Amino acid sequence: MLEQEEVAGIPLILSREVRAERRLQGLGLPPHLAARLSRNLSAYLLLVPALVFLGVVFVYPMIELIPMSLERIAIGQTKWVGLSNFSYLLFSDRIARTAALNNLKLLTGIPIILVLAVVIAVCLYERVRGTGFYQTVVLLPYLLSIPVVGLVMSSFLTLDGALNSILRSLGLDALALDWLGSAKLALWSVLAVIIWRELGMGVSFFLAQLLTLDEELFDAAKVDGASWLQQVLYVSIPQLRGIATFYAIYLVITLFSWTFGYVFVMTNGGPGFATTVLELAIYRYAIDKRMPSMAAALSLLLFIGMLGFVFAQFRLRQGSAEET
Amino acid sequence: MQTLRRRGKPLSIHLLMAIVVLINLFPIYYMVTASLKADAAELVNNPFGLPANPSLAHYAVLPIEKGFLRLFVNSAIVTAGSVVLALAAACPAAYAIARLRFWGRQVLFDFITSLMAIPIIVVIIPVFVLMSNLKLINQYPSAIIVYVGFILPFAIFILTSFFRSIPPELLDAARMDGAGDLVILVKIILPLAKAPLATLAIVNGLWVWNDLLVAMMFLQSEEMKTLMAGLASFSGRNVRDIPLIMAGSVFVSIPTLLLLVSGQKYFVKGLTTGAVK
Repeated sequence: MLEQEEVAGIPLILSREVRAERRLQGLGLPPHLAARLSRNLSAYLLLVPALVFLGVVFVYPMIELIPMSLERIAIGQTKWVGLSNFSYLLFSDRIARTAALNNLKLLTGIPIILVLAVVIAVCLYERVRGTGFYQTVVLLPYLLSIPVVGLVMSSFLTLDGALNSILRSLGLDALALDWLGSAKLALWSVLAVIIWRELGMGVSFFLAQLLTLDEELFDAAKVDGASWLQQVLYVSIPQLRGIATFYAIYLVITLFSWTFGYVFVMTNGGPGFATTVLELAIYRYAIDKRMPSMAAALSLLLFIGMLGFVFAQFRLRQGSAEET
Repeated sequence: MQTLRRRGKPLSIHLLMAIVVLINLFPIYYMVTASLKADAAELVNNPFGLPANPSLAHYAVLPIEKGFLRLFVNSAIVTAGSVVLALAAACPAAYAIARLRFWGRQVLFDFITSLMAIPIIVVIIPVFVLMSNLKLINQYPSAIIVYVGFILPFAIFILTSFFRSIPPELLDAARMDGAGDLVILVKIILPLAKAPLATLAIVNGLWVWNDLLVAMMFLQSEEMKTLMAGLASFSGRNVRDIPLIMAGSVFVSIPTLLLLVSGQKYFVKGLTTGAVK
């Protein structure tokens, strides 16, 4: 039953908003607040389910991390220790420092991924015969899960694995190395595997951007007598700058916060700590060493680092945008 | 649009792509052939040739003996539950942000989008402690809640921009007929949003299916493990038996490869939306 009211003898059906407003006023709310709340009420109700999940998964942990990182739990007792977890991690802990350095070393993969992805995307953009097949194959590694890639590659890269068999059969015995077992090589082998899997995603990004370009751009260049290479260098690639910046930022985040699966499966952080990344160090503190406070402190440091990075690149990009 | 361009030099492009194809396919070829070899000894003698006597023995022990059937069911429940719940929560939220005016709308949208940059490991420790206190470790809901939380920012971001592109006249007409927001969302907007919803389901389903960290932390017991956690632990116990590990790897990859065949278009679109203007 809809509530009705008559204006000059014409029955008016009241909208839900008006009904809600009246009810709120009936509860003793001042009219302007009741009006605003009733107008917004349905929006807030629609947002509730999502906000509950985001609250549990993001807001609660971010708040909880701070007190957690200032405590230490020993023999069932929680003790407030101030900043000593942080000072331990920053100044004394070899694992945390090695892990952070390893994450930084992984960043060297970014220019390699960018160059390879642009080259492959530019080639796919030409739509030579078989491009559909090439595109599927380029994307294929990205569809395999990280544990699968890790298992296949670690079996592939062991001392008597398939890669070394190939190298030996080609007479390149000197190159048949212990790819994952040597402290010097392991991190770079892991990086090569990460590049192998992530590259397809980058190619998809660049190709999607190229496909939005106006064909006339190239026609104009052709009229001016530009060769294919010149068209690529002076027409296609400059158009990719925006997406390349975005993808580079995405890769920094990936290499700092999504490499757990690779190292956990391939090397378990070893040999020694040669391939331990921050995520694995946090996991070790939380699960294996049962030191959740130390894990919380290291999580906060990683978060602050990522926040600083996102903020810095934002400021940097703003600065360069103002210049041009 | 779909014409051959022929600006470049097809030969050098084919040559380069041949190298890429070789590098991308060889490990996959190795995974499949190794899984068909009789034992680890054959693999050492003949690491990358075809198996002498292809045998499905390693696949035969997977479902029951190695428990992969149970792992598969767990993965399916967690993946489907996370994707369905996340999209069910994302649709009304995105509709409110895209189509309704309310106090704090822009701030909320910026906040939700910025959550996409937060690493999962940063928030996982307090959530783990919370779930242990609630006795939810080794229960599906604990993992599903975390996955839903991590799917939501991306899903809301994509759906909001899609809902904004729907002509307002469509919605106004329904509102004149007295339809409430929920009716408009279910009857008018969702039928139009099948394509972005399919994209989101595929991309996020793939992510949940393939995730290791959350699955390992929240579903630890043998009965509750997912395929990825099972595969990762299973390798530790059977390091020598590489053909078996490879068979397991092929087994867990089949659903994702089927997904590629059926939905590559949606998948590529899903990866690149939001990135390409």
